[in-house]
Amino acid sequence: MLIGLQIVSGLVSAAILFLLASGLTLIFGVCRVLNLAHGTFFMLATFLAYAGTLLFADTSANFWLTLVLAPLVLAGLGALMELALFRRIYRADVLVQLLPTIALIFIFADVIRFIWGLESKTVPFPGGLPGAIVVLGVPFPSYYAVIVLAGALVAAGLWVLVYRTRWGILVRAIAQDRDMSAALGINERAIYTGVFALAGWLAGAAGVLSAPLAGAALGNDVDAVIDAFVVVVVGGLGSIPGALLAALLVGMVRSFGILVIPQFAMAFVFALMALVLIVRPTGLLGRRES
Amino acid sequence: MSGRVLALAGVLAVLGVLPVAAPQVVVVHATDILIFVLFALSLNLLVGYAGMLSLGHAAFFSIGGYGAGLLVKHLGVAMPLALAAGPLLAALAALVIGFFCVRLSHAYFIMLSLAFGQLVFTVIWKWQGVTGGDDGLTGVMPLAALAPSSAYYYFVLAVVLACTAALYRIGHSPFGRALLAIKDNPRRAAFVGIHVRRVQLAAFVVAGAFAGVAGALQVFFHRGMFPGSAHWLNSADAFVAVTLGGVSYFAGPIVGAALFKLVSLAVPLFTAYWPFFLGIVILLVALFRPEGLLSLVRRPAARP
Amino acid sequence: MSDAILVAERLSRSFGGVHAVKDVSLSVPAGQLRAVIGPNGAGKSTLFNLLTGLVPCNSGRVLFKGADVTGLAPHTLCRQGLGRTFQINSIFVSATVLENVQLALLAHQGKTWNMIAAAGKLLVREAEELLAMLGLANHAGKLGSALSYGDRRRLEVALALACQPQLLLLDEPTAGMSLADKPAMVGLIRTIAREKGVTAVLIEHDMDVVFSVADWITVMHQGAVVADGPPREIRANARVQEIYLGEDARA
Repeated sequence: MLIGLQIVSGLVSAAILFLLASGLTLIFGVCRVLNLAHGTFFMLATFLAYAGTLLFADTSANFWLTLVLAPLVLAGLGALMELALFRRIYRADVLVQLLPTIALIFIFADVIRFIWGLESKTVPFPGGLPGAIVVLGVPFPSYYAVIVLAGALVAAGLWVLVYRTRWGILVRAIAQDRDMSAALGINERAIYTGVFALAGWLAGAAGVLSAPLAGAALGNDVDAVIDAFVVVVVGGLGSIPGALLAALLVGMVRSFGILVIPQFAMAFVFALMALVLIVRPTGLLGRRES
Repeated sequence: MSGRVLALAGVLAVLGVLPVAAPQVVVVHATDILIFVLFALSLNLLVGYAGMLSLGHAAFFSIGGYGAGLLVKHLGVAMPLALAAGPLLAALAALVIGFFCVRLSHAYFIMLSLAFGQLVFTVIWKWQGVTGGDDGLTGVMPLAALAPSSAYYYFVLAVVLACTAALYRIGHSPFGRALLAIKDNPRRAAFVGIHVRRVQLAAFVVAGAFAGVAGALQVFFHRGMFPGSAHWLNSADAFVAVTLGGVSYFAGPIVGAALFKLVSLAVPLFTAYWPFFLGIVILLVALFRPEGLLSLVRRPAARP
Repeated sequence: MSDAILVAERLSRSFGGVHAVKDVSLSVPAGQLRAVIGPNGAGKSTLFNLLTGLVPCNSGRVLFKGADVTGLAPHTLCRQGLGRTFQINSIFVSATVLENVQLALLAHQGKTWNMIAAAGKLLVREAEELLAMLGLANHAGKLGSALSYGDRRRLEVALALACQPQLLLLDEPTAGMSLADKPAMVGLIRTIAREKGVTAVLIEHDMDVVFSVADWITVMHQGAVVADGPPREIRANARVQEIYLGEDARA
């Protein structure tokens, strides 16, 4: 009985982790930038979810409206960041690349603090859902099903995007061999902007979906980006299937870890990460960097 | 050459007479700055020399502080011994964490160091029984002789100067050269016979130890410590300080840390949103003076 | 006949579906100056990478001075007396020429764990001697990044020599050098091999260099060894001519 609940909550975790990590791994795999500010987008989305409940308070569909709009806002923000900032630092060495991402973390955290204050916010569950769903004899909030479904849909959508569209082919080409892609005349610039926009969208979706569960709070940015990192490290930098596999693994380990020692559930996740790193340093499905 | 010596002499002179010439609040702030300078210098052994971009360095700062503090508070250890034990504990932690981190390079290393840093933070934060958790570790008293702020200031000054000299020595030693070689060309370093992983691990441990010294100095200074000292933001502060000054200058972290602290003291007088302005400054430096602020005064060196 | 200082036994390595090195065996007697030649993509550099532990082999063994060193890390091999240069210059560009060599000498003497001494003052004489031997004495104070291509090539050799190797693997040592610089490099290699008794294995594309300096030639093609013998044998070998010149050039 308890196991069923842990599995489901593990899946919920996994869905959010996948949404978060896939964006980060995309940016790294294609643009070769470690975007520490990725968690900031997530945090912004949670606050937008909160704002959405206030803004559209009279609509019973306010959550769904926010779920559609907020990721788009973040996609736009991602594209903007790429054009205004990241574009200039692609050629710089890693040290110099890290600084602007740290700067963005500071800047956005304060902007959020300015707009919404210091206190954490709670976001109500979306209306219009049945109270509870029973699966295999285990009752759990129907909202969980929404998240897991959303995660699965996005995973499928990403697969189609990356493996079945022309854009996806270009993205994979660049990720695999940038010099060759450039020589072939692929317009990298447009692709990079698109990647940042997509990553923003994914982080936005993750944030809005997680808001009813975890609320909106300052400090979520770093927690989120570290979560994303752990998943990406376990799955392999640049690998979306890896991110999916790792998200499931990490989600389950965390969920069952909470059963064992709630305070140190994170330690189990770290143990998993350490194990993967010893056995397969480039991650479960990662490629060896030359 | 003499210009540098004069500048150094001048700075030392000012530091020396500070408690006599300046009000107590200045002395207290100066102590804070000195501790942060040491923390930043320890990080630069990794960033500037070895090219290892660690974002979890605060873990060792806090282990040094909590280690020393817990020994004094719960085990009644005398301060001098605790002050030596703190960095040792930090070094031990660096050995364990470093073992995992140095197996990876570049992006993986950065992320793993960040993640381990947060792990340490979480452990300190949640282990209420031992560390006091959110309430922090309190009641850590230095020796009675060092209790007055000027006395403690001179103590910190002496320790920080000694550590700075030691780090300078290490940086210019064969070990330091090996680190620079690894940063420059790890493959060639291996092919001249350098055991790259082992040397990197040693650097990680040494840097962790010096961070632990800074942490131990801090815990007796503030009579305690909070989990925030291990939080990634503390690591980020040191990282920013180091890059602000310039990683390829030995004095870069010193200048960067001092400037950082001064700004963090001054700006809040005008606005509560000082991280915002810090962020803007970092952006500007990263875009327009990536070699660091010292490059305005001196030509960028190839290495510290 | 001297013992073989380097033996490769059936080395193989594939990347994906590509057999970069196919079942390669060779035996290099101590003191020999051997050239490994073959068209681009023959697997020569990969062979070097397998021999020096940079890339793990899928199968086969490497024996150095009689001991199995398959898969040992580069720094271990270096300590045992194997030096290597790379096709694309691999020096320390952020250090001066003198510092480059000092570091290599310090590493060879196991002194890189010293955290106290002032590195600038150590092994200066030995470093200067090595630089003089390679004609780099005048550039001692120059940063690696400021060196001309030819000088970088020479520094590359200096770094390989600093670990006092008994075996030197040189990957296209004259690549990219001007016609004026090449003879000096060739003379240098000959001096090192003959006067210092160092066994040298070179990958080379310049046939003039190969035939003027090699005691023995190994020819590779598409990952495998197709010919192995003294220069006049190789010169007369029909298969080799075919590989290099195409079938209709057989005369």
